[in-house]
Amino acid sequence: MKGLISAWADFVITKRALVIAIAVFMIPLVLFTGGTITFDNSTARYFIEGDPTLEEYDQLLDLFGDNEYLIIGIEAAPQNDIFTADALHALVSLSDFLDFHPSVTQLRSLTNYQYLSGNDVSLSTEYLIDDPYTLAEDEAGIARVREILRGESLALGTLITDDFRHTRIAARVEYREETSEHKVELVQELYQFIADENLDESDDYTLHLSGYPLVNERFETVSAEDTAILVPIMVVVMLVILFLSFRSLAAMILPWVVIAAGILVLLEIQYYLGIPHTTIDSSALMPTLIIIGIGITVHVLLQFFQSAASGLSSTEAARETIEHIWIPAFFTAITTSAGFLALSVTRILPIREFALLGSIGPLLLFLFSLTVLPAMLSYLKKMPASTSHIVSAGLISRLTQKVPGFTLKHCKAIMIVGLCVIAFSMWNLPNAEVDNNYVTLFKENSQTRQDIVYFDDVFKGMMTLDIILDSGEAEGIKDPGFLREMATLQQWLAGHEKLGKINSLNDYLREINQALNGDNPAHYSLPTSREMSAQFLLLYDSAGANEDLSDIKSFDNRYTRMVIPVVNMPASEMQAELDEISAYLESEAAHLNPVLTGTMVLYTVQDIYTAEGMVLSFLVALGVISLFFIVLFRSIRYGLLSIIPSVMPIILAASIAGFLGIYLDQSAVIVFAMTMGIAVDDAIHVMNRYLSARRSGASTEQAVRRAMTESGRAVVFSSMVLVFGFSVLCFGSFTTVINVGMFGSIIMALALLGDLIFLPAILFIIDGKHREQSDLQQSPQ
Amino acid sequence: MLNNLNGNVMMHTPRKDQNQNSMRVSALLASILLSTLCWSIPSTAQDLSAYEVMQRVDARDDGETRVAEYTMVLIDRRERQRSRDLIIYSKDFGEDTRTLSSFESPADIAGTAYLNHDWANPDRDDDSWLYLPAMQRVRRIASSDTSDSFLGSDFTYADINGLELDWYDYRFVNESEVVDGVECWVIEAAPRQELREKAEEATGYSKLQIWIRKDNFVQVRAQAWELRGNRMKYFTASDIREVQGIWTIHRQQAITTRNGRQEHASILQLTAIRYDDSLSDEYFETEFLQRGVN
Repeated sequence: MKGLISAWADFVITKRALVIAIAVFMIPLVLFTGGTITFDNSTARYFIEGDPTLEEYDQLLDLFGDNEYLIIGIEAAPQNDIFTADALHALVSLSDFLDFHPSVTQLRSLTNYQYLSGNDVSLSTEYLIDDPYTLAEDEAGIARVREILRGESLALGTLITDDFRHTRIAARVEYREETSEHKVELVQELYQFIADENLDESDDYTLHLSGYPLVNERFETVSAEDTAILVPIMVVVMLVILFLSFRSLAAMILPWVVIAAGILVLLEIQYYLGIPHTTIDSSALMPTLIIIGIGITVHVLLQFFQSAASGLSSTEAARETIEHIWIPAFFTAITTSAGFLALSVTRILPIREFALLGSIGPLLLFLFSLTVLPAMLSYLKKMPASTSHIVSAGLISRLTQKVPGFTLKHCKAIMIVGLCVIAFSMWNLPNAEVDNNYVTLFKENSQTRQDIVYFDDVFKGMMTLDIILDSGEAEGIKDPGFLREMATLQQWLAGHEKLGKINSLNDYLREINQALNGDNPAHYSLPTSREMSAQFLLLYDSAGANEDLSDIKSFDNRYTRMVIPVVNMPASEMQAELDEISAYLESEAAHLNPVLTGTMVLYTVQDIYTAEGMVLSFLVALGVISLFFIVLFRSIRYGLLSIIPSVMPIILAASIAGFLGIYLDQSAVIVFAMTMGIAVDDAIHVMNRYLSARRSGASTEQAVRRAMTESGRAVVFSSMVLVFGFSVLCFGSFTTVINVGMFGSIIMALALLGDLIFLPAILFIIDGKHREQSDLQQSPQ
Repeated sequence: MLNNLNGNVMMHTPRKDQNQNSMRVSALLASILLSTLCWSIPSTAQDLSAYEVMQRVDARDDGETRVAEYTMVLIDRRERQRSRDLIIYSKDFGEDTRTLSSFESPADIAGTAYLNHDWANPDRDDDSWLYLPAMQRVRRIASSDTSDSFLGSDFTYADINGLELDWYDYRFVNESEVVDGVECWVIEAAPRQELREKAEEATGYSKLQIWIRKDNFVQVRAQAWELRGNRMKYFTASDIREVQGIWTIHRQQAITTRNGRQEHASILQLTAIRYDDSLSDEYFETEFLQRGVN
């Protein structure tokens, strides 16, 4: 290993101009090759090919067409219903806008609602509103509409509430497997339309926007906005830290060359691997790479300035930096990489891809930090006096020199406190609840979240469950027996408080039957023969319905489906609801061959995968990193000891989250595995120096002091970078990003305490305060 | 309208209304059969105006009676297909036309029939009835629903029953375009300003574009802009042959698209046709619906 590192250092220093030239040439090369990475946050992207949940959802799409709805709610002012001039104007304008939008494949609105009407001799399909544009001035027309609506069971509860104060427009949006950009465009154009037409400025009504495409758009747009804000803030924070740490212009600028090169090459790799952006990588990857990049470069810079301060020339200092830093830096890169890679155990594809990219990133940053950065540093003519002072005698430096004395003096007390913290963490850990609720991803005061709550309150939710029912043969859904069983199921579902109103094939058939019998409510019943069903359906198809029934029955009339609105709830509750429905379907409706699917099922299954992945990825990260430690330190004992200061903060953070009643969600999965990989970095530096000293014959105390002197400053500097870097994410818009920021910074701060205080205390107790350990001398690094 | 629309497809025999002096697109069968080409092609065909071309199209002979057997193929967005068989009887009653459409298969809709009386007077709405055997009762269909789907297909009743020639202004979009090796006129039909509302209500289309073969005045292609939902309809006619001396389209297709994507499509495949058979007037009375064609 020494030979390799020496050869590496030789190459970088003797060919430093070439190394820099390659980097300078590579950046524009990367910029001008490759291409644009697409953004694909579509539903299918979240599942691995062949996932049964996705296959069932694909079956739903195949049989019934697009399944995502953009929903607009119009809420009349308390004293009105929606039949005021302003509200009707908004209803018509928005319906028209959506009806003619290229991404909309179906529109359900009062403006195109049709009802069947009949008497003994005639039958007609009529628009509820003859002329939507003039209805506001037509009092008699409004009265007629109200009168008709009172008897329209297909409209009440779904298109309009019983008190006529709320109406809803549902636009079915085209589903495309490999992109979600059209949904983003649709929603943004809708926002623009509302603004241009001043549709959100009336006292007569309030608009509410929601639906899967809107949530999708919010994730993407707000993620992009977050990145645009968070990255500059992070850069500024990092610059401030670099300035305070080194008081050197070079130290402020050069790390960004490393980071820029790392990010650009990683994006190039992402492009060639064909991995599109998703909300996961777009909001978290770049800030994380900046944090890791600064972390690595701080170690390099500090070592360089320390070496230079000891009287070496710039080239000698650069060479010594490589030789001293290479092994810990390499292993920190490996462990960070392993932390990311551990996320691959999840069954959620974008997290897997994030894991892959995240695992490549630290290795690239290591490469550039140990080549380009020392090469550039070797050109520094003279170290500024202020840098020299702050590196050797600054506050941090003084602090790290005093810490060993403190830990030595209080090692038992520190151990007791540490053990208490561990005991508390372990005791409280079972309270940590792994759960998720997509609503809580949005801050409480966000319009999106408030609108989701509105639709929950008024229309029992904007997401749906879908049950596909299979009659077993083409044209089989016309069988009266099948229809009756479906009616029983529908009735059972209607008894669920958290499920909304269902409009099924049965409801249409009943409506037709009633219309064909002079609108007599006594005939609001199911067909009594297969022929009757077939002829009702033919009649409906022929009756001029603006929209056909292709979204509730399959083309060959073998399958039908129930679309069931469902209120928002945490994944665990939703899972319980799904379990109950599944149990009923299995016991009472098995011969309908039911398949429970839909957008809400997809979300819930993602949550289940998240929960499964959380524990597993954490354990994998723990196992892999422990193994690295054992290999690195060539000692099981020191390998496992080093992991304690890094793991305990994570367990403590999870425990605190449980104590505070915060869900551990998708963001927690990411942050726990990822931070473990980063948090161990400092432990590597400390333990590496400690063992190195011990193996050269130093006592425990001497070795701890030397480790603190040599690496303590870098550990504090890099931890500051991590703590402040992660805390910047608290300014994010989504709770996931905020949680990553909050947990990340807390874990990093605790890890720092662990590395500076707890780890030395353990070493003092285990290795003895002054004992020399000859056996370590036999196995130098 | 469809007539025009479908091009030949739904062509009908034009008639001059005695009082209104307006041309009426003829009856269902006519339309559907689209059939006839009238007389001979004038040597001055190249000098006709767009309106005159449409007059010629309307002026084709399609026989006094027509009995046509069709297979109706319905196609969904993923090209899945299912088919129904039906027979369409049609007879001219002076200037008026009456049509009876009756399903033969599948079994669960066999006997379902639709009767239409298409009056030459453009101010008089059509009369339509529907018979559902399972209900054993005849229901009158509201006359305002001519833009509804014809028996669940992509064709509408208006497409089938024809349009009022004089409700539209016509202009050449292209005076010579080759379609399937035959030279055609391409004509745009837009509702006259004063009749726009009426025409749009009757057809559901804001305008049409029609391809007419110059050699026989058969419409071979048409496209229609729907009023709602960013939809377009594309009609094509093919396998055009003479039967009993009357140009007859054997295959008509209508494709409905929304935002450029196919929503569904229908094919009317003519399997047999007889012109000028003796056809009792009884066929076209509501009582007959219940008794059944067979």
